[in-house]
Amino acid sequence: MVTFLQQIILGLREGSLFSLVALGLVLIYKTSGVVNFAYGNMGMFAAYIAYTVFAIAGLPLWLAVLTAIVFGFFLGAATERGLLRPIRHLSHSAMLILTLGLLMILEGLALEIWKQDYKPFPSLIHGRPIFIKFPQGRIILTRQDLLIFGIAAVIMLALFLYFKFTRVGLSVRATAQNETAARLMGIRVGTVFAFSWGVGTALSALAAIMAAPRTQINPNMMLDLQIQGLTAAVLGGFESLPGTVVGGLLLGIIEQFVARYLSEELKMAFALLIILILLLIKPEGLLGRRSAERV
Amino acid sequence: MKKLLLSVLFVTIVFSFVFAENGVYPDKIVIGSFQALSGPVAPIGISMRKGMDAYFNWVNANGGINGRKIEFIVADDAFNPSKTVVEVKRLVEQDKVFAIVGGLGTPGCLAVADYLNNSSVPFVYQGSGSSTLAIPPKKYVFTVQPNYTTEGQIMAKYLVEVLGKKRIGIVYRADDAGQEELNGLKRWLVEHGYSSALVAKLPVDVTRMTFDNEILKLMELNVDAVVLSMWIPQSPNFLKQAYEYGLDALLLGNYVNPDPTVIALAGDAAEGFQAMAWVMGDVADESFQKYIQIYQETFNDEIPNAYAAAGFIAAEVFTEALRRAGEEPTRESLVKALEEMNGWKGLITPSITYKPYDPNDKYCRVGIRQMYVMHVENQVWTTLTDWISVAE
Repeated sequence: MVTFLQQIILGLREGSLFSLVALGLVLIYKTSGVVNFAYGNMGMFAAYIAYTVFAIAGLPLWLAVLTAIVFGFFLGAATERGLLRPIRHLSHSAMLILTLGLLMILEGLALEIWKQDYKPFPSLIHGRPIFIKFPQGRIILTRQDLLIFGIAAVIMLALFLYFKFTRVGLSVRATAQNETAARLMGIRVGTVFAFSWGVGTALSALAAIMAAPRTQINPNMMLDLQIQGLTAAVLGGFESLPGTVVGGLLLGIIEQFVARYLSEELKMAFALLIILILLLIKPEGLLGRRSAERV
Repeated sequence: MKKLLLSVLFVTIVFSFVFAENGVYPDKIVIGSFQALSGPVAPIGISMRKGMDAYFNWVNANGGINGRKIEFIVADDAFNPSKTVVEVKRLVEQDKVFAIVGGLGTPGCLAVADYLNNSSVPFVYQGSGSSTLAIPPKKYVFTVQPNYTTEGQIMAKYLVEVLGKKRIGIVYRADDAGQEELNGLKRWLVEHGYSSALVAKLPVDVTRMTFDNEILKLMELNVDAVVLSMWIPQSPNFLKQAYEYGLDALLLGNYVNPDPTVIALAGDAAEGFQAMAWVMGDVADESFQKYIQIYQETFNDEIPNAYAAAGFIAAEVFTEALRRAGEEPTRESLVKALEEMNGWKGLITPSITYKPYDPNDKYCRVGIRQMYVMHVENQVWTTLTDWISVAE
């Protein structure tokens, strides 16, 4: 029983990272209709910026984290404004290919600037873990677990409230629902696109920084997280933000159980299998609504 | 009669050209090496090459060996064994190198070892811990680094006999190297009646970066020592995560680990980490200072890392053998010179011994069979034990 609980805790920790990554992906997809393949690498690049500010410039850690997140925001917004908007009228696949290109450019650029060596990045929090004792054993909560879970929860709640109750949030939702109608209502659709790309990419930066103490900073650090985020998003239906959060947490727990009771090396394969099965039997996702379209 | 004499002379001249040793010229000796100078393993390959470059530059600046300078050609195989084969064939057949010195990587070394042996080209020093390079022995292949079987045995002996550990776990890379280390460890424990001491055997994929499940299992099993058969950057990651979880056991890494990079990546979590070592590396020694000085003659102000030390040793061992191989060295005389090395020590090369080639003597091509333990103390690697060896 204790082992079981421990697995769930581990799963939730991993899962909250997946949710963060997935939230950004979904946000970008919902407003601009593009699945951003460069998403993970944009976060990776921002993590390198954090490393540069912290380890090379020697500035405090909080400033490094803040710089990376702000950088992520502007990187996202600039990508939308400068690269995607000009080809928006071309085709959907043109935009997809562009994000694929960006993925490779960012990886190459990171290698060129920071070289191959893995870069260390400190944990945001230090210290021994917290043990919760039970008659049958104990559960271990690392401080990093608690921090990741806490940050993820706060961010998700804040995002939810923001989109629900503010004017900007309303215009994002309106644009996502119907771009033309939103434009006619006086919403500046372009700004909304850039804004959601910015927020989405900032989330990727945050996820990269939270993963960095464990993966070290390197050009491939977000590879797995990007796939897991995508899976979480598919699980959640790629439309609803709460669905995405649930999808991420669920995926984290499933993966953890696969890792513990089947094989650690199978867990990524399992994530991909889930995408496959879900797309076959319930393409609208766990919490998504089936959409009917008139042809 | 005159005709006969002339033709004899002609034949002699032709033969002397044919039999002049490949790669040996009046003023220089050409040797080759293969290293990963590009690709993901490049940080290791580039460092190892620098160690060799520095030593050969120093030898050449001091007049070379028996009046000949050493010309050193390094081929880039990007740690890809199919490329290694092409590059090494080119070195042997086009560049006509005298010997191959210090190739990097188990896959590449294994891919060319038989070819070099069949072509009678001496292959001195492989950047690999695989015992299959030396056992069974190949006449022209000389290993220097200790192999993982030996290391596994020494680790077991150290943990059980020296430290009195009773519950040992091993986390190892799921590849040949990791498997070999596990086998060595197990073999010593079984042979000495401690087989119950090995309580956890946890393989991990070579690309894995998180070890939550392994650490939790080790904690559930209450291990008092963990052998880490993995490299950078996996090992510092393991250290960090073990620290986060509060894994309370001695951590002992293999000989790829005593490198400042581990401390740089793991920080506080590296404190107390122990690892095997075989390079003589006492900073206080005069010979070590000399090594740093030679290295810095080529690479200003740089401190060589563990891989550069490996390259340096490859060059040291080869150069010593070449010096002993006589005024007109041949591949055969080089092999003989190596076989006569008995407890020879270089500036940082520890005691090294080969024996005449004997297909039944499985240690005649294993140069080094003893190691010692280092640990991280106040964020610096320091020597912890004396040399440890295992009886065969």
